[in-house]
Amino acid sequence: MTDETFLISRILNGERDEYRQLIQRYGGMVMSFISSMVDVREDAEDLAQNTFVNAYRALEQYDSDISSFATWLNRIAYHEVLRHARQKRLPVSTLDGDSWLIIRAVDDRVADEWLANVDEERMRLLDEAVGRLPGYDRTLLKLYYTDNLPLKDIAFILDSEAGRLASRLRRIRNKLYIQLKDKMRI
Amino acid sequence: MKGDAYTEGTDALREVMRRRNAESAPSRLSGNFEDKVMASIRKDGRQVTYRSRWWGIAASLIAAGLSMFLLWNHDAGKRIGQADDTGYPAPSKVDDYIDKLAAYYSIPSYNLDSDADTTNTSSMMYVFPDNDEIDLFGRLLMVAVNYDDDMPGYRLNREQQQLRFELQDSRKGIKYLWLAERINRQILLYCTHSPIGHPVPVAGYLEFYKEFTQTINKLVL
Repeated sequence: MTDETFLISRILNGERDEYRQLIQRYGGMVMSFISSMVDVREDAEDLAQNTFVNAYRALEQYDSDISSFATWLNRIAYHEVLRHARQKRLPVSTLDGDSWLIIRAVDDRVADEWLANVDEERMRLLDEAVGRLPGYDRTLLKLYYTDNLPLKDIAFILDSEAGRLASRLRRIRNKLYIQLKDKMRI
Repeated sequence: MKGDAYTEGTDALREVMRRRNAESAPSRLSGNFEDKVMASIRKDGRQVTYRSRWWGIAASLIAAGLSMFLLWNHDAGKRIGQADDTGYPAPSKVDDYIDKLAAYYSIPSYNLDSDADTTNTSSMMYVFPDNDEIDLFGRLLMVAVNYDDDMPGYRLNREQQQLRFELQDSRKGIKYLWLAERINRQILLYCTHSPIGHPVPVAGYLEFYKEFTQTINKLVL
């Protein structure tokens, strides 16, 4: 039994205050994840709070064979964000007005090669373009590139399939490449 | 190595994401965050615990009976549980788009539900003018390529006279078909959906098509 599962079993056996340890351990991670989709800090913190309360209520259902506790928490956080977006009628994910026809026509290798080039000017433009992406796409990039999660865990969090997410990542990269290549005049 | 060859080697993007994460520093929580969460938990009053031994035995007996039922309904339950369209490119959005397009151009539409044999079946027919302004074939093609071609049931076929597009919503167990056909400077657009496993309803379409072409022929002659 790992330290974490032991801690969870103690909480389930009535030592409620031990839950603080999990909040301390994962509070920052949950807040960071939610902030990648929700811009207003106060809203993000409220959602992080709801995430931990809901996780506590559902703690008995957590299964360490299916996912790590961190992944399970992020999944709850994601559903909290969706609920929030529905209430506030915010767009969480959109297939925006770009021509996906053109994006499909891009050679993946060309886009990947271009995005592999670490150049300050290129990264500045790339950062602006990432900022314009829909929240869902930014979250996907964060989970994959910053948090280094495997696609199967990201699929668990975002209620999707690894293959679909790989395809979406490919499209996002192609889209970034198309948006920037004119500015860079390449 | 994450087993996804497409995403290896994109160092600039990885670096940009790392910097964004470091600079935004959104992970800092307010000082009393833990207290707020714990207060909410206490206020809620519920104490999560393992079930008592006797309740466990009783529950396991109930669960044994329920599990057969749940296993049997596994797929249906999964679909109902995931039927939220937020963030999901639901095929029904194509119908919404066509509906709005038709309303905008005051296009006549006909409900062909008379041949429906289940409540999950619905069929509509639209008669669009075949002109460059509406460019129905072009618009439908754009809509079709917005969907991943690895979506369940994805099938797209475009010819000069006909455009056929199919998708499935496996969460709801529904398959969709859109069939546009050029007839004498007009386009008949047939939109139908029905449960997966059921035949596509065609009776209403064939009847409409026959009447329409007969009327066109009379007018032309």
